[in-house]
Amino acid sequence: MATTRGAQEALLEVVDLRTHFATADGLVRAVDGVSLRIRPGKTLGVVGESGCGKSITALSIMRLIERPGRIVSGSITFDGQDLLRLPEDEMRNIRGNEISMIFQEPMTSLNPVYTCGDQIAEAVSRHGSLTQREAAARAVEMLEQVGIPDAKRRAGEHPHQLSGGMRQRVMIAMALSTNPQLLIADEPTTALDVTIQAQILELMKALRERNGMAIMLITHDLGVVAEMSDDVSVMYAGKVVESSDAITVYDRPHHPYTKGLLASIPRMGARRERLDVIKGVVPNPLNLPSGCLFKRRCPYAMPICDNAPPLRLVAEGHVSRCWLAPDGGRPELGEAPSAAEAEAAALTLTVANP
Amino acid sequence: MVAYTIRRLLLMVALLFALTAAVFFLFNMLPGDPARLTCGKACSPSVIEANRHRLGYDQPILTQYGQFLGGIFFGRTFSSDSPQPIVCNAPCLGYSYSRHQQVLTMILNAAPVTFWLAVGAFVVWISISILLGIFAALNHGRWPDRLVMGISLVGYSLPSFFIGLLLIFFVILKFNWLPFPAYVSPFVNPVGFLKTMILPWIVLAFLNTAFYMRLTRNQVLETFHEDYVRTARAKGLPERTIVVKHALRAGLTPLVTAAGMDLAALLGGAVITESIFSLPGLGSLAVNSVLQSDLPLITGITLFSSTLIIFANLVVDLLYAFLDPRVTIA
Ligand SMILES: Nc1ncnc2c1ncn2[C@@H]1O[C@H](COP(=O)(O)OP(=O)(O)OP(=O)(O)O)[C@@H](O)[C@H]1O
Ligand code: SF4
Ligand SMILES: [Mg+2]
Repeated sequence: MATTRGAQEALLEVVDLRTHFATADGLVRAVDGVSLRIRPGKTLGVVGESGCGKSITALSIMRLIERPGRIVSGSITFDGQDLLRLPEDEMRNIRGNEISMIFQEPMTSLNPVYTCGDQIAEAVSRHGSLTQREAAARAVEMLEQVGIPDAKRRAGEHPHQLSGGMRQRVMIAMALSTNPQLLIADEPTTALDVTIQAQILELMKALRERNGMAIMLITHDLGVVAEMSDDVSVMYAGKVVESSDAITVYDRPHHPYTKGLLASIPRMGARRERLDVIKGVVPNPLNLPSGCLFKRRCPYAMPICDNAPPLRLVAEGHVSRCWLAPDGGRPELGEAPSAAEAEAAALTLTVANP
Repeated sequence: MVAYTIRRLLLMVALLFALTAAVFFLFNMLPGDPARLTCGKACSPSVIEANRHRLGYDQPILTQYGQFLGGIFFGRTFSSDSPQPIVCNAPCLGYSYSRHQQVLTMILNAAPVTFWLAVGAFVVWISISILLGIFAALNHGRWPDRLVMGISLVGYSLPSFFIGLLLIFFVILKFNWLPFPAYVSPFVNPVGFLKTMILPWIVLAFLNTAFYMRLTRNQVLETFHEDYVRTARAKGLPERTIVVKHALRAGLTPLVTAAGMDLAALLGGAVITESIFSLPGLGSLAVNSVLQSDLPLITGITLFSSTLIIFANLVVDLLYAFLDPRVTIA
């Protein structure tokens, strides 16, 4: 499928997405300016602290935002069509078929009253023309593919009879049963034990190889991203603050928040404690600071930071939402780009490596 | 599951034994002389004493209880030393001297009326509640939800005899849309049957509809926010499948449990509704038996209704395990 498109062309392109929640306490701008680009067959890691809007971004792409949430602006282009303009029934044909999603909560994401096999078969028959029996056989085949021993028996079991890791495998089997072009994995391992985490990541790698699908891997663990991703987008308080290929982000991060995140990874060999945790707390979404949202925690904060920085191109295929000069030094006064330049930079989210 | 069912059935038998004892002794301790009821206006002290002896009411209470139990299993004969002995075959629940009929015969005559009343009302209230409950849940917080919930609140607060009398007054007496209820079997005269039953069904369903509508709505609303409903959406399933197959089905268990018990209670007799519409069901029979202090009849009806409820309990428990695979019974 991916062969019809050029490798540089995006499979999914999100531009300036805004998803807001009208709560009793006020408007929560959960996602407020997210731009992402996922290349066919490649993996984009989306990182950020809890509450920065990763899940809401993913659910917006699936158009699964529920009241009081609403996608207020932006565009989501998948395979050449703007998902936000599709009628609901066409969107339903994409959900679970061309874009599948697995969730953060493996323990509760399967319906307790149906067997695992039935729940996978349901996805298969929804998007294909298989008979009941063929769909059931496909379910067993998928369970085998995700490494569940004794798949035939497991297919007849209910979710509560399986461990968390097994359930997440079932979710992956369900998501991949329709051969999607894009898999959105929202913290697929966060709720699992460390050893199980590694197994699931290995499994996803193997399946990615086999199926050639693109993955949007959401996590707050930069270690996981390093292991899995081709590209990385870092989110903070509802916005993407830095995007580039994975190597650039790790070797030459530009945004002070990304630097802080990298410094807080516990390294092999080092004592297992976080050395350089970013000071301060995530701003209250109901009461965001003006200017740069990171300024209260930023060691580089300067007067210009009272103005909100745009997403700027700091190198080929590398954007950052920060006033610092492209080399990371203090900007010359007046170097701030115009609004038009900023917008152009935001839209040229091109990625360097092939 | 089979072992569990057998164990439950044995337990049920034991429970019924305890129940017969409780019912029997309790009612026999009531003031009032059963022998007095046998002769009505013709009673004189000598007749009462003669009857007391004939019916065995002069025996010690334990002996009487033994005879009662024996009657259930083997049948018994009343007035055996008189010229016209009354043979009561097993399972004999007793003999009503005020009506001169076997208790079981009276119960079996009244039971079909109550059965149709209960089952008809059940169908009405369950279908309406589930439809309106889902409708309200899907429109949560908007005016259709408020309207449905408002109606349910009214339904809650109106006593069934009030609704019943209202319906009789307008539908039957004032506008003559329906004849005055006179029960006929649906197999004899289906149209007459429907004409008689429609109002009682409405009255009986009304109160329950209010409750079950709310329950359905709340269950659907609750499961609607479950992660697995989101998973169902993410599969691209149509909304109807999501609501019925995923949200409603997963929240069905409490509904079925409550409905099973309510249906069983109704099968034991709907006292108020039957009385308002003069339906000769178990409820009316029970009221009359109490009014006439007809001890054997009271005992028989109580046993019959309790058996229904105990049995419904078992059925509901089995259904529970069937509906919710997380429940294991062993
Ligand atoms: N239904 C809702 N009503 C109001 N606010 C919401 C709702 N859902 C999410 N939010 C807000 O949106 C913001 C982003 O939430 P989101 O779930 O996307 O975070 P996340 O990055 O996935 O975090 P985590 O790592 O904990 O999963 C949070 O501040 C949250 O309070
Ligand atoms: S814009 Fe200023 S406050 Fe914000 S991250 Fe950059 S240097 Fe820090
Ligand atoms: Mg999340």
